[in-house]
Amino acid sequence: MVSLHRLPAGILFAFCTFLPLPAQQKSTNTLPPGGYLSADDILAHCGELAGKDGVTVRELARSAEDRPLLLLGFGERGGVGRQAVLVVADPDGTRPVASQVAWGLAQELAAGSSPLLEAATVYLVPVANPDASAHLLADGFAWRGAPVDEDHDARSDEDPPDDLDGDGLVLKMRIPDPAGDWLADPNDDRAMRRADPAHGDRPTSRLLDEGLDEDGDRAFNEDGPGGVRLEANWPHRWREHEPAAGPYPLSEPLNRALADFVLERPNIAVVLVFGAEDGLARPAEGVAEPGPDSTEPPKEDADLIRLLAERLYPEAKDGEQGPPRTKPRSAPHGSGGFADWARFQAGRLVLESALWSPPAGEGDEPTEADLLAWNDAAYGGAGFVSWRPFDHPQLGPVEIGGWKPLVRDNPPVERIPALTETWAGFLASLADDFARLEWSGIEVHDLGEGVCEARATLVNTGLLPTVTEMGRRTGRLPRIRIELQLPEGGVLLGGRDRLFAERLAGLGGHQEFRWLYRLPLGSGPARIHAESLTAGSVDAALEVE
Amino acid sequence: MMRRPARTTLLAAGLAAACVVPVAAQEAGGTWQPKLEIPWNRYYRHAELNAWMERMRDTWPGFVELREIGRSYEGRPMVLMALTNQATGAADDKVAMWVDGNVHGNEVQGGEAALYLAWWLLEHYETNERARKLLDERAFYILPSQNPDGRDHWFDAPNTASSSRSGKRPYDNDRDGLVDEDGYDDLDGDGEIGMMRKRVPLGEGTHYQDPDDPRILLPVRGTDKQGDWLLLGSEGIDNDGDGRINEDGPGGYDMNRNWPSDWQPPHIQYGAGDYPLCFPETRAIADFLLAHPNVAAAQSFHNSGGMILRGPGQESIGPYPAADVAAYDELGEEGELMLPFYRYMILWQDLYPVHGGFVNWVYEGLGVFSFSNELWASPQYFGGTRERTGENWYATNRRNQLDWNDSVMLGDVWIDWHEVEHPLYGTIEIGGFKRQHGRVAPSFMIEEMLHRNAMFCARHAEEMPRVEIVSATAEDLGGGLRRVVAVLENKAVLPSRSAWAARNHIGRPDLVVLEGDGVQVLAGGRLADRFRPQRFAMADSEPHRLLLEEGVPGRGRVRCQWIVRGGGTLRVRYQAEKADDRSAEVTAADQVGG
Repeated sequence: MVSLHRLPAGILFAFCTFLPLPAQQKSTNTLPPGGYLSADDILAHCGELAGKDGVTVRELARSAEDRPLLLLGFGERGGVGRQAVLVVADPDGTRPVASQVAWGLAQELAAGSSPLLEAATVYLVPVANPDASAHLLADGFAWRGAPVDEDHDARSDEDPPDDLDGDGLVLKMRIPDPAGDWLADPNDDRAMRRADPAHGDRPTSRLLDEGLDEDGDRAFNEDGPGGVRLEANWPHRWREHEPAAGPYPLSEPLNRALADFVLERPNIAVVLVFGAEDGLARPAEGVAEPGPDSTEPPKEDADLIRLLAERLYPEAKDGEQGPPRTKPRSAPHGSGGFADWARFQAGRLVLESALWSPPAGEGDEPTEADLLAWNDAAYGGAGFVSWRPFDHPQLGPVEIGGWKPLVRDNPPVERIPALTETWAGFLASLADDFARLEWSGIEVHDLGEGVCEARATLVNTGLLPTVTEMGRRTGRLPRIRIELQLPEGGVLLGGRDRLFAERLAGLGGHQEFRWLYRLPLGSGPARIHAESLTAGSVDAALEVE
Repeated sequence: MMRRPARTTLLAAGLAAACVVPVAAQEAGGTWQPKLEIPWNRYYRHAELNAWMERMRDTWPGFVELREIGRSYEGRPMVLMALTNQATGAADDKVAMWVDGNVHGNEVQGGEAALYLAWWLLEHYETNERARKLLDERAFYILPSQNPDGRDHWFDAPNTASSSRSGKRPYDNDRDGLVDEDGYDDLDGDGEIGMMRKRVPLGEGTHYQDPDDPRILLPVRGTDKQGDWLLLGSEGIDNDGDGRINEDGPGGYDMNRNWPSDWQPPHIQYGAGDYPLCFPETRAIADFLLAHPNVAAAQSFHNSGGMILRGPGQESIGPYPAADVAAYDELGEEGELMLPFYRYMILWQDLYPVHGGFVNWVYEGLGVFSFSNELWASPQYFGGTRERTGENWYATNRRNQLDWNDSVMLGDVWIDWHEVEHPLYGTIEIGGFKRQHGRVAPSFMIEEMLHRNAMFCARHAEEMPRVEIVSATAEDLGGGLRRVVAVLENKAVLPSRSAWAARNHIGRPDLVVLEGDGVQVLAGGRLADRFRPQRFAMADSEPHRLLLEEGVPGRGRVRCQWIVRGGGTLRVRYQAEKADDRSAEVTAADQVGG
C-alpha cells in the first residue's frame, strides 16, 4: 500500500483539505489480470519442494523485508562439464507473469520428466526481487529498497505518490493546462498522446502520477518510498550518483548473493531472464567490438541468440505464420541490470524475455490505441480507469484515471499454462544444444623406432560454444585443457604435453593439435585428453594407422 | 553535522578550557622525552601496528578509540583508530580526515606514516597549539594498512620490492583452473627473491656485463657489444609445468582498482576483481566511509616515486571543476614545498590511467578531496646531488644504487651473484637488490619520510572547512516587515561542499535555517548582490530552510537573505555534513546591507 506519509512537521502548507484514508491492504488477486499467486505464496510453495527427489532449495539471502531469495536446483549433480541453465524471474519486480511462469516451470522440473535434466542442471530463481514483487501485486506499486533522498532536499521518502480518491490505486492525474505536453486522442478520450507541434497539436493537459506535493517544493511524487532499484544496482553500465543505483554496484545483498552464485559456477552456460526487457522477439544484430558500455553482445553471440529465438518465434524460419512477434513494452533504464551483467561481465549466453505482450496493430510494439482495444476485448475495459473529475487540494479540478498497474504487461491468468508450456518446451529443446567435445581427424604417423607424429582436431559438435565470445573476451572463464598422456617411458620430442584452447564455437568450432614423441618398445599408444568445465571431457587413443 | 546539536556548546567549552592550559616548551633544544617512544627506524608487521595503536590508546586516555571495521581475507582484524579529544566531542560528531596506507601489500611505509601522524599529534597536544586545535576540533580516522595480509606476506615470505602487492585471496591468474600454484621460489634459501641470470658464452645472450661494474648487466640491443648473458627473471621455477615461471603467485589482483567510481572489469582494468568492493578489505572500508559523511578530507599512502597524486584516473572523466582544482592545487603545491623530491601530479595525465582507484572514488564517489602520496623518491639516496650521470639512464641508475649499497650501506642491501642449480636452466646465478631497497626508505631515513608526509596530512586537515556565521542582522523595512541577512564565512581552503559533490548531488546540501517564534518567513534565498537586495534567488519552497547545494566556498562567503513578518527574536542555524554546526542570534542592523 502506498501510504500517505506523515507530513514533515514545521512546514506551512498552502493547503489543508480532506485527505482520504489509506485504503486497506488488498488480497493478491483483485487487480487485473487477477488470479495471480502472490510472491509470498510462490516462495512458500517453492520452499515446500525441499526434500523432493532431485530438487535442492537454497536460500541465497534475505530481503530488506525478510523475504528469502530462493534458488531451486533441479537435477543437480557433480561431474566435470555438467552444464547448467539458470532461470531468473522478475529481477525488477515489475512483471508478476515471470514468477507465475517460473513457478509453473518449477513444478514441471520437480516432476523430473524434463529431458533437459538428463543433459544439464537447472537452477531457478522464481522471485528475484521478492519485496518489490510482493508490493506490486498487493497494491500496484513496486517498492524499492532502503529510503533514498531522490530530490536531494535533505529528506527521504517525504513525497510519495498517493491514492487520492481512495480507490486503492495510484493512477494518473490529468490536469487542464495549455502549457502542458499532452492532449487526448480525438477518437478516444481515454488515450493521451504527446503534443507534437509538427502535427499542429495544441496541448491541453499535464499528466502526473496521482498524488500530492507533500513537501511543498512544487514537484509531485518525486521522493517516494525507498529508492535503490535492484535492477539499477549491477556493475555493467552502473550509473553512479543516481539514487536508484545504490551507493555502489551490488550493494544490495540479494544482488550480491546472486552474482556470487553465478561467478562460482562457470558451468552455468545459459541464463534465461524473465523480466521487463525482451531480447528475443526482435533480437539484436550484435556488434563487432562490444565496448565497456555496450548494450549489444558480440555478433557471434547475437547470431546464436537469434537461432534460439526462432524456436519461440518460428515464422521467420519457415515462412509460416507463428505467434505474433510483438515486442513487449520494455522498461529501459540507463543502467544495465542482471541480464546485462550476466552477459557482459560474467560472460554467459543470456536470453531475455518479457514473456507476453498484448497484440500490436501494425507496428512492432502495441500503441496506446492497440492496448485500449485489447483491454476492451479482453477485460471489457476493466484494465483502464476512465478519467473522472477530482477536486485536488493543491491543483484544483483535475481528472484521475489511466491504466491499472499490471494490466498492460501481464496476461490474463488463463494464459499462464500455455506460456509455461512454451517455455518448458524451449528448455527441453536445449537438451541437445550444449557444447560437446569430440576428437576427430586423428592421424598418427610411425616415423620408425617408436617415434610418432600425431595430429588431432578437437571439435565442438554442440550448438552452444564452450564459452561465449563475450565470455572469451572477459578472460575469466576457464579454458579447455588438453593433455598428451604418454605411456611410461615415453618421451615428448615436439609440442606441449599440456595446453589450453580458448574457445570452440558451436556447430563444428575446432582447433588442431600436433605432437612428436617416442614410445618405448612394446608400449600401448599415447592418449589425448581434453577437459572443459563447460563442455565435459573426452579421451582418445593415438593409434597408428 | 546534524547528529548531536549539543556539540557546538561542547566544542566551545573545550576551547575555553584549552586556552588556560599553559604551553610548556617541552622540546627545549631537542631534549624532550616522548610519552611513548616508538622506534621510527624500522617497519612493523600488522599486529605490531595494532599493538602500537593500543599503546597510544593507553598512553593518552580519552583520545584514541580503536574500532575493528572488518577482517581481511586471512582474518586479520582491520583496526581503525578514531583519533580526537573525546572531551570536546566524539570523533563521529566532528569534521574528520581519513588517512590510510598500504593498500598494496609491499608498499609498507604508508602504515608507519599513518601511525606517525597520530603519534606526533598526541605527543604535541600539550605543547603545540595547532596540534591541540586539530585534536580538539577535528577527528582523524586512521587505518594504517588497507591490506594486512599482503603486508605481512611481504615481510614474512620471500619477496621482491614489488611483489605481494595483492591481497591473499587465491586467484587463478593463468586461467588453468588452479590458484596461486606458480609463485616465486626461494631457490637458494636466503629469504630473498633475487634475479636469475645465466652465462651463455659466444654471444648467445641478450646482455653484457657493464665494464665499470660487472654486477650490472646491460642490454646489447642498440650496441655493438657481444651478449654473453641471459636475464631470466625473478627467482623461481615452473611449478605447474605450463612453460611459464612465476605466473600465478599468491593473490594476483589489485585492491586499488576495486573501487566503484569508473570501475571496469578485469579484462579492461587489470586486477579490478570480479565486481566493485568484492574483497572483504575494500568492502569494509567503503562501508565505513559511506556511513561517515563527516569525512571531509582523505589521504592514502603508497610507494614510491615521490608523488602527490590526485584524480582523475582517466581522461574520459574530464577535468575536475575549476573551484575544486584550485583547492587541490593550493594543497598540492604546499605539499611539494614540504616534501622535497615529490611532485604534485594528476593520475591519468602524469602517472598512468587507472579505473577504480581508491582516491578517485573518495573524490568522485563521495565528493571528498583526496590525495595519494607515493612515498620515497630515489633522488633522496644522494639528495639529488653528486650522482653519476650519463647517457645511459639505466646504467647510471644501477651504478648509483650500487654506490649507495657499497658506501652508505656497507653492502647491506645487495645480494652478490652466486651460482645455483636450476631444474630448467641448469647452472645459473642469483643476485640483486634485497626487497627493502628501492621502494621503501632505508631505516635511517624513515622518520623524515614519515614526518613530512604526516605533516602534509595535518596541513590538509587544518584546511578542512571552517564555517562561521560572521553576522546575522535584521533591517526594519516598515509595515511589520524585516529583511534578515546572515553572512557565512569559510576561512579554510576546502569548501564545505566540493563543486563535484554539488554537481553530482552527493551527500546532503548544507542547510541554513531561520528560526523564530511568531515570525512568518515570506521569502528566503541566497543574496548574490549586496547592493541590490531585491535580486536574491528566492527559494521555491520552505523559505525558512535554505539548501546550499554548493555549500560555502573555500576562503569565501555566502550571504543568505530572508523577508519576514512579525517581531519575535530570530536565530540562524547552519548545518553541514563537512563543517561544524553553527548558530547565531539575529541582531538589529545598524547599517543597510549587513
